[in-house]
Amino acid sequence: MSNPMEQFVIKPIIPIKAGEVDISFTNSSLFMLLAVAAATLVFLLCLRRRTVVPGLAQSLPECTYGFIANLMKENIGPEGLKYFSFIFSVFLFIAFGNVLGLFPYAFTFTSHVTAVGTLSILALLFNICVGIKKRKWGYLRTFMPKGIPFVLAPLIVPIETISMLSKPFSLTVRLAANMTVGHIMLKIIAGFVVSVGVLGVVPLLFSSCIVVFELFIAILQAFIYTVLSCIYLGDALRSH
Amino acid sequence: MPQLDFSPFPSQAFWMLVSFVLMWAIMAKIVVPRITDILNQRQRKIDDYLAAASEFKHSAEEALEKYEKAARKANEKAAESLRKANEDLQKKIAEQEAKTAEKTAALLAENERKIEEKKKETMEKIEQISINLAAQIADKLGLEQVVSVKEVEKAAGQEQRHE
Repeated sequence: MSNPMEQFVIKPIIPIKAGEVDISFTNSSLFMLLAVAAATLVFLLCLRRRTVVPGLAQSLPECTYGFIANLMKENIGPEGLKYFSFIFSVFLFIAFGNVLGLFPYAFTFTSHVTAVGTLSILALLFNICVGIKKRKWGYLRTFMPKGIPFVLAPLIVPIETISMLSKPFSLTVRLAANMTVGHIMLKIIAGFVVSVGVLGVVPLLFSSCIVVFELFIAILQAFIYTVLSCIYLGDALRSH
Repeated sequence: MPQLDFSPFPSQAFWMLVSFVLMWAIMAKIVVPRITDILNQRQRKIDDYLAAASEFKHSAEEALEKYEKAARKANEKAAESLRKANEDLQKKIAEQEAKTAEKTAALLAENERKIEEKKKETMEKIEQISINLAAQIADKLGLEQVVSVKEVEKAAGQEQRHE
């Protein structure tokens, strides 16, 4: 039986070095770009014929748009739609990354803490930028909410800082752990199919079910990541 | 676990940034504008249709109002002419009645007058006859005293006045 961890190993395809730093183009990088390409392709294909009355294909981008727009209206408010493209991209990037990872021999970059962490930190930086732009110095209120006595500042400021920094951490761990566990489970059960011979039909069926379930998890986790990003963005935009 | 190996972090971070920024750019510049374009177009069309529908409704209401006004006017006119016709009829009937009554009255008066005349005539005749008769009776009875017709007439006249 092959090692279920093998699928997560990052292998360089084109070694690139920027000075001392290794930024090789790896299988992970390949699937990141593939996710972008797939999302772009699917959406542009669906939007090929732009009609006022949408066809089946056109409904996909429209429904996704409506879904994310509603999410943002609920969690941020109507002013949140200014940052629609960002949240929309986050959702599609993760959703396509997750789903692409389910294909056999594919690499799931969303299972890597380093990859997802970068995205989460990017989202945090985006939130901070947007927050400062919107509220100027008022953004500092995030660390010292209104109505709290000044005496408590030494206690509150570190807590709020940790709370803010833990947001990308929790986002990252949730997504990466979900993806990792799902893929390990798939791999282990798939391994049984061969090793137990004729009886392998049972794990095969089970594995098939798990794949469907994982597809659901892939979309669900992308959704959760997006919802939380929305909430964090909303927090950054208004004082709480 | 390879996931917890942080050595490929620079490569991962770099390519992640590249891919995500690419994704963001494509979505923000191409995909999202296209979707919003469609949605706006649809909204515009719906608004247009709604506006047109409300306009139609408005004009329909106007037409209904006009129709109702006209109907009311026609009704009023009809009622007016009916009233007039009735009045005319009443007048004519009254006139006719008056005329007939007059005619009847005239006829009646005429007849009465004729009757009266006949009566008078008859009375005169009767008087004449009675006088003659009285004279003849007196003559037949052979009364000594000859009573002249003139006297009898006189007596009859007194008699008549006493009645």
